[in-house]
Amino acid sequence: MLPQLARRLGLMVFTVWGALSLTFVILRIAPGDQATVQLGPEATAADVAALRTELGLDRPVFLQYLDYLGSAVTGDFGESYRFHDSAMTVILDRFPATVVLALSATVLALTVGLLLGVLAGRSPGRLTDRVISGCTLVMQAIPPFWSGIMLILLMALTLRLLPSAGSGDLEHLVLPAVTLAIPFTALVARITRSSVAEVTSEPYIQTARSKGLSERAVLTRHAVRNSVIPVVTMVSLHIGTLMGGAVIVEQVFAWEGVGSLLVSAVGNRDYAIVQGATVLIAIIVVTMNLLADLVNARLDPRIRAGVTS
Amino acid sequence: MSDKRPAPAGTAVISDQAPEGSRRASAGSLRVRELTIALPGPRGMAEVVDGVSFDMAEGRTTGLIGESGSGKSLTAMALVGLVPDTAVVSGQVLLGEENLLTAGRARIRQVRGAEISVVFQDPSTALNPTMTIGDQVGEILWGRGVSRAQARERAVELLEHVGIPDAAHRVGAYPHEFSGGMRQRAMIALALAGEPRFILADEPTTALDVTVQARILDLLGRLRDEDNLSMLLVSHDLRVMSHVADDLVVMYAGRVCERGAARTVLRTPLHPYTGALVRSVPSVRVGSAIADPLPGSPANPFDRPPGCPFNPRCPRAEDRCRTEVPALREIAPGRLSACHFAEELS
Repeated sequence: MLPQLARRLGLMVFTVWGALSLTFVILRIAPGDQATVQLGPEATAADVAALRTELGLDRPVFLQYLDYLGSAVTGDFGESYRFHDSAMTVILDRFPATVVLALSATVLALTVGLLLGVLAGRSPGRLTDRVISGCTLVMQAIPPFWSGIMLILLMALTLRLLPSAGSGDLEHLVLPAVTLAIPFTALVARITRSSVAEVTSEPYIQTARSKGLSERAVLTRHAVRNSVIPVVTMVSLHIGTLMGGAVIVEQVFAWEGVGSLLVSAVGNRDYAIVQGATVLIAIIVVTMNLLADLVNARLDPRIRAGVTS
Repeated sequence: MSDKRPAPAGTAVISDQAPEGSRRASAGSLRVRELTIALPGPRGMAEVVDGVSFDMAEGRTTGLIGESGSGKSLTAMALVGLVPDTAVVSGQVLLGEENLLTAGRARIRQVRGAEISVVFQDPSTALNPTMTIGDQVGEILWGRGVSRAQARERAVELLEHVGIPDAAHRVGAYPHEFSGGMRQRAMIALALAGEPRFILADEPTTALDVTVQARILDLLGRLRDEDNLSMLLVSHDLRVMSHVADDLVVMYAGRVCERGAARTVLRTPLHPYTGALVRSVPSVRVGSAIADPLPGSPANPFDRPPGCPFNPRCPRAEDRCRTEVPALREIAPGRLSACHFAEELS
C-alpha cells in the first residue's frame, strides 16, 4: 500500500504541473495580454510597451515560465492587478463559496442519484426502471446554463419563491446547487443502476438469498457495497466536470465563488488569478481521485491487496 | 400433462411412492411430487421441468444427473424457491407435511439455511468478494439473537469442521485469499451454519481442479454421515455420481427418465439414455475400449420432440416412441423407468 501511495502522490504532482503549464501556454497563445486589457483600446503603443516592460511580459516566454513555476511552487501566483492583492488571497477568499456550492450539489446528487439508481437497478426492464432511466437520460443531456435559466424563469420570475441571483444565504444556494446537481444526479443514477443490475445477478447474491436473508439484508449487506465501487470511481472523476460546471453556474446565478472569479479573470487577462484558480481546481481534482482510490481500497479487499480480477 | 401419458395396462404408474431406501422414514425425507417449472421461451411459456418426482431420503445422497439443459439445477433450486421471477412453479415440495411451494415467501426464508441449504457450483463467484469468510459463514446466525462475536466463534468451529487449517486466523480472510478448494470448503461451512437437515449441492466440484474434486466429495460424504444430513447432488458427471450417490434420478429434457438405487441403475440401466451415459464415460484402465460418446445433441427443453424426448437420439426408437410419451413405471422393486421397452432392457 505505501509504495502504491508514493507512486500516486508522484503522479499527482505531475498532473498538477501539467495543468499549470497548460494554463500558462494557453494564456500566452490567447490574443491580447494584461497590458492591452488594463490600458484599454485608447492606449498608445508606447504606453502598452512600457507597461509590458514593467510587468515583465516582454521577457522571453521561457524565462517567464521558469519564474512562474518557481513562485507557484511556493504558492505565490503573483498579484492580481484588478484586486490589488495577492492572487492566492483573492482566490482563497472566494473558495469557500464554491466549496459550499459544489458540496451541496454533490450531496444532493449522491442522495437522489443512489436512490434512483438502486430502485431502477434492482428490477431492470420494469416500469420503475424505464421511467427512471428515461428521466436520467434527459437530465444528463440538459446543459446547466439552460436548466439554470429555466429554473430562474420558473422559481424566481414566475413563482417568486427564490431569488434569481446573488450569494451568501441558503435561499441563494438552492437554485445553483440544483442546477449543478441535475446532470450529476443523472450520472450517479445511471452508473448505480447498471452496477446494481450487474451485481444482483452475481451468484453471491443467490448465496445470500439461500441463507434466508430478507431482500433488504441481501441488498444492503451484499449488493450495495459491491455496487458502490464503480460509482465512487465515477463520482471522483466527475469532480473535475463539476468544477467546470460550477464555473458556468456561478456565472448564471452571480454566485461569488472561484468559478465566476475565473471567468472574469480570463476576460481581463488577469494571469495571476487564472493560473492560481486553475491550479487550485487541478489540486482538488487529483486529491478527489486519490481519495476515491482510498475509499475503494477500503470497500474492496481485492484492491487493497493489489489483486486485479 | 398427465393426459399425455396414459399408463400402459398392467403396470402401475408410480408417482406418489418413494424410491427404495426411503420408505422407512418418509417424515425425514424431502419429497418432490410432480414438480413442473414453466419459463417464458421463444414461443410462450415452456415447461422446462415437467412432472419431476423423487425423494431426498434421510441420511442418503440422492444424485440428480443429466446433461446441461435437462433442468436438473432448476429443479434443485426450486426446492428453496430460488428460481427466476418469471418462472411458474407447480407441484409439491413436501417438507414433512408442508408444501414449500405454497408456503409463502416468509416461510421459505425461514426454511432456507435452517432446513435446506445450498452449496453452489463456483465458489469463486458464489462468495461475496468484499465480506470476510467468517462473516459470510456466520451471517445466518446474526438474525437469531446471536452476537457477532459468537457467530464468529461458531464460524471458526465450522471452518475447522470442514477441514480448513488455522481456521482461527483464516476466519478474517477474504475469498480471494483462499484457493479454489478452500473456497468450496468455506461455502460448505456456510451451508452448514444454519444446521440444516438437507443440503442441495449444485455441481459442487465442477469448477474445481480434478485433484481437489475427490477431496470435496469425500468431505460431503463425511459430513452427511457425521451430521446425518440428506444430500441432493446435482451433477452431469457420472463418475462423481458413482463415487457418492446412494440413489439416482436421471433427467432428460426436463423429465425423469430413470430412478433407483445408484448401484443398480449404473450396473443395469433400464433406460437407453442412462445406458448411453454409462457407455460415454471413458475408462481409465489401460487397453480398455474408447468411450462411446452419446450421439446427437441434448433436446431443447423449449422445443421437446413429440413422444419420448430421447427418441431422436435413441438407438431403439420405434414409431410408438415418436408419438406416445412414456410414463415413469416401476419395472422392478425400487426401479423406475420411463421407457416403453424398459422390460426388454433388463
